[in-house]
Amino acid sequence: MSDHQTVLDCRDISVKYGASLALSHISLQLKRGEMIGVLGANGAGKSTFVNALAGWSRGETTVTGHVSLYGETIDRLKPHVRFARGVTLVSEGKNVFSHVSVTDHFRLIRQPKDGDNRFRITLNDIFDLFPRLAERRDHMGGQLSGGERQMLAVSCALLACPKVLLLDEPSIGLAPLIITELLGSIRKLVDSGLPVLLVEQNAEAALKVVDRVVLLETGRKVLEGDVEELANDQRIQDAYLGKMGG
Amino acid sequence: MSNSANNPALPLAGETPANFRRVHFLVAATLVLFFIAPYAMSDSRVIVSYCILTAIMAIMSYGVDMITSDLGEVSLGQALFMAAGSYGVGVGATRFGLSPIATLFIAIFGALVLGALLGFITLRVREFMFSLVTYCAGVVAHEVVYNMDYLGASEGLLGIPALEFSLGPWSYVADNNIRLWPIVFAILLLTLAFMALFRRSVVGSEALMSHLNPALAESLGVDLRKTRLKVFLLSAPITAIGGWLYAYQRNYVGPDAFEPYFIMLFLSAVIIFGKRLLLGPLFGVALILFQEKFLSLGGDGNKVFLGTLLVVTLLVLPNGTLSLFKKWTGR
Amino acid sequence: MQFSYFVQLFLNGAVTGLGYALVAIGWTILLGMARLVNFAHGTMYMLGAFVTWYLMQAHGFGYLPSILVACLVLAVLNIVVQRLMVRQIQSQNLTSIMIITLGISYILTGAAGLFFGGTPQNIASPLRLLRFSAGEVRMTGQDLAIVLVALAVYAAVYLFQRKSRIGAAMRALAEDGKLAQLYGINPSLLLAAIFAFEGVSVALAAGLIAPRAPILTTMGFQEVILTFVIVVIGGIGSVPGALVAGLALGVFISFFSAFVSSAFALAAVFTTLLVVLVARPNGFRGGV
Repeated sequence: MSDHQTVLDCRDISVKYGASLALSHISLQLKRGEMIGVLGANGAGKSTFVNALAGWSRGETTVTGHVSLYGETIDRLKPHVRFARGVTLVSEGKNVFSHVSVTDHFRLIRQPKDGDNRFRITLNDIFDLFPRLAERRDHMGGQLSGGERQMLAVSCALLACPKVLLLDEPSIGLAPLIITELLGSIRKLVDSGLPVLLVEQNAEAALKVVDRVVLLETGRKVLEGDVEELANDQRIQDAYLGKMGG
Repeated sequence: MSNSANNPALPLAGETPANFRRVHFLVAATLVLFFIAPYAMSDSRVIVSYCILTAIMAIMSYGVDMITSDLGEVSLGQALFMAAGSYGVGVGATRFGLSPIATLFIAIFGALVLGALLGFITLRVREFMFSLVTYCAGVVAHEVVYNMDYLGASEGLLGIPALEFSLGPWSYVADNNIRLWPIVFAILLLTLAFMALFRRSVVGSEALMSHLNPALAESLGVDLRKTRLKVFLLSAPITAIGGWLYAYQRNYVGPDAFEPYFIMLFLSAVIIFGKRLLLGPLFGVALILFQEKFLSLGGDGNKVFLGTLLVVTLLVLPNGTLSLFKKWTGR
Repeated sequence: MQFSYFVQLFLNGAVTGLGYALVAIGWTILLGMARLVNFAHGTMYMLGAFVTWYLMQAHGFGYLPSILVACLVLAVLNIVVQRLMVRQIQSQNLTSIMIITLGISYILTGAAGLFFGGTPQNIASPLRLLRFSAGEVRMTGQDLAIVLVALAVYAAVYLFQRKSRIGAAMRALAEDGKLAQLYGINPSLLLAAIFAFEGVSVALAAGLIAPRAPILTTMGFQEVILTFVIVVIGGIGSVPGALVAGLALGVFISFFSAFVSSAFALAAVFTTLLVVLVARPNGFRGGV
């Protein structure tokens, strides 16, 4: 249980959509108490990568490579099984149900019985973290604002007491103040021990909260390193200057 | 013995010019053989009746073919059109003594009216609603006919006279299967020609497009619902004409026209060999009727066989058995 | 005509209507939650009735145990059907699903004919012998059972849907099956549960309703129509809607049969449905 134990070990992950290769041989290790930022332009394969780790996708994909969680292989498992094992994903785009209330969203989450390495959190902790959700308990998912929806999606992922949290572009469509608030809250969780993989197009916001950075370009990993080292790297500068949420 | 069960080489769509000619030749050869079969086997009443029933059922199947293979929807109301054809003859001939041409017009007109009615009603509903409505229409029609004495109620209408054409002194009476055969075959040829033309026509392409890529079709200005209506209206008379022939062949019409057997037969015939094959439904019907006539497992056993055939084809070979054949020959 | 005659007609209609509603609930849940049309529904009703009859007749089972076994048999059968169609369900290939379930319905009709024979049979339910009357208005124990069970099932399903985790999961699945996976929901298990529920509810309905008339292995088609009408009028996936629609349908048929004609009652119902469809192509409460 040391602080540098590898939580998620991804080796040689490749993803194909039909015949076209979307992601090529990505390897990555995520350690306890660490947040890695996966950056890159639109279409670089960031979502594809994180979806593959969760065993999920909206389309038809073929995934090859190995993923293990605390040494346990999970690559053939279905998304709901990985969820139960402790890998939760907050997907980009539509990630809450419009016709299900906030309370019912929480009702969907089954809290696990096994205890190892799980990030323990209760519903009250969630409401402390995101007080606005407490006020909106009876609202339907579709009635929440963009920021509130993201908070709800993240809350549900956390309520499952995950061993690792995958976040796909949580900042899309959100006002800068909300983004800071949201990512700040996430950072607090990381500091309490939750390993997080953050996919972000908004490099500026991401660089403020992550420990390490991975840069993807057209399906390949082109850069990896600590945020201090890479913050001044030209390629990161390009990512952060050119891609203002688009 | 009839050619159908023995000849596996079916015409394939979209072949190269050399194959094209070969395909046309095969189609023509198959049809010629089919035409000759009853004459060659005229001693066997069973075989002659098998051939003529195959042709009649095939004609009706093509109506379903249009809707299922091209449009991609499931119309379970073809029985209505068949009944329109058959009862048109039944009522027209036995109660009004009308000639075959007159009953033919009644059949076609009746089918179009029913088709238009159902079609307009389902114009704005979704695909599965369309199937359900047509299905229910069939069952309700059965109830109505079963209870109306004018239409023969549960007994049906017996004593339909033979199909007879007369022009001045010359007359042709089709009072048995062999004499009815050329008429049936001619109509089969016309149906095949119609199907081929349909597939090349604008409506045909629109239907296919709405089936394969509805979003694209709409963006190109195809009105999906109207296309469905058009195809539905085109398919109605075909099945009705089949019903018309069936009534003359049996000299009888009854509420058995609404039995699920017919829609099962038509759907299976259309699906079993593969979609949009010109002779697919003909071979499908031939295969199914072959089992029924020569390898029968009894009424209920045949139901199990036919249902299983349909289900297995869809589950295991969604592209029809021909796709399996293509795999084996590596084409 | 006496007032009690109207009351009797109304009561008969309500009982029959609640029966139809019980037949329809499994189907509306399946359509509402999983967007699937099961054409074998009516045949399953027939099968439920026959299994109950067979167990009572050939094996001397009691009435209630027979119904319970029938529920089990149909639940298993429906799960098998769901497993067979897994690929089609995943790709939402509704056309195939409709034809496959139609085919299955035909197989079951034939198989039932082979196994149970073609003669009409009667389920000798002990409840039919119980008679109640209030003045001129009469009711049998069977009728009462239908009413009580239908209401109980509807109440249970409604509460379950609103208050339980599985109910929430079903609503999530209905809205976005893919996203539901990210919330730890196992779609195929949930789907199996929905199919099983359809089997159980239709067998229960058959066990309660079928004793009122002779049963034939060729029956079931009327049930499909009635179910469809209820679901469209009540709103696809709406539990309270199906209950109200069922009641309305039962009462309508009762009065129509008495004052106009019983043979054409179904035709009248269907015509009404067609009128509704023209006005509201998605049924009353909006479609899926």
